[in-house]
Amino acid sequence: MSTTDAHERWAVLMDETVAETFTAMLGLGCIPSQTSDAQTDAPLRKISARIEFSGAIKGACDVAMSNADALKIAAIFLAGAADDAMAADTVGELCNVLAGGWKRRLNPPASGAGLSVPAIVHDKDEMPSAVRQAYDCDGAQLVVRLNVQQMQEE
Amino acid sequence: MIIDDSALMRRIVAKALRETGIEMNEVLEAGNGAEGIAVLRDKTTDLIFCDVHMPAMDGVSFLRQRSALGFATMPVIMVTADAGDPMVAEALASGASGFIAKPFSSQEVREQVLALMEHA
Repeated sequence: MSTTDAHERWAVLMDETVAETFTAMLGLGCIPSQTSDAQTDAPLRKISARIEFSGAIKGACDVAMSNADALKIAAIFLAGAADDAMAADTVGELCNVLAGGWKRRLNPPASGAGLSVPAIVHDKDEMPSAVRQAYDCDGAQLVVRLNVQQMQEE
Repeated sequence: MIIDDSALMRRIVAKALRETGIEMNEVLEAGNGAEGIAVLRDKTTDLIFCDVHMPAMDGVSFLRQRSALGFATMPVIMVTADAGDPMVAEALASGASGFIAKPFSSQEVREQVLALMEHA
């Protein structure tokens, strides 16, 4: 499989993961954004969370959202108002669930790779990404980035 | 009791529990396994939802401590974003009653809890 094919496949698997996550936990549709990355990424740099893969995958998954959108999603999660402290927690949890769900869709041994706990990262730590997808979720936007340096997959 | 280092996740699990319609007196919360052990020493709980990876004391260590304290039969459902994590298998071997993989729906929480109640 070429690098481009692999990146396209990873993007499709992330689309499925995002859709499943938002449907199961929030009852919301969440679809790839029609807006270009360049347009959507800039205002979304306020909170980023990162999960590092280990074992059969060397790389990381980042999820970025604006503070306001993170609180919007938290309020839907909780069916009530979310306080400011919930914003980073929301992005971290989304990153955790999306990284786990994406990894599960890969073939072994990559599907058995380890996940770190989510860490909040800053713009200066933005990683080069093989896959960068923006999503629209009931008016909130998130950007998912995958940086895979190495993967063992059957 | 819900043990998770994410306050958001604790509230999500609590909300899912409320949505099951199962009668509950009180939902206790703890931010890690050590806090969970402290709660166990003080309060009576019927069921525990426990995250696998947490700072201070993880879910598997919590399970072992709770057994050492004489609460080995208290049902514990692990909550994880990575069902393939070796620590989930370790948790099951250490006495966890089952696990729920994120993303989960209220229906899945209900099914797990009802299954435990049937076997109680």
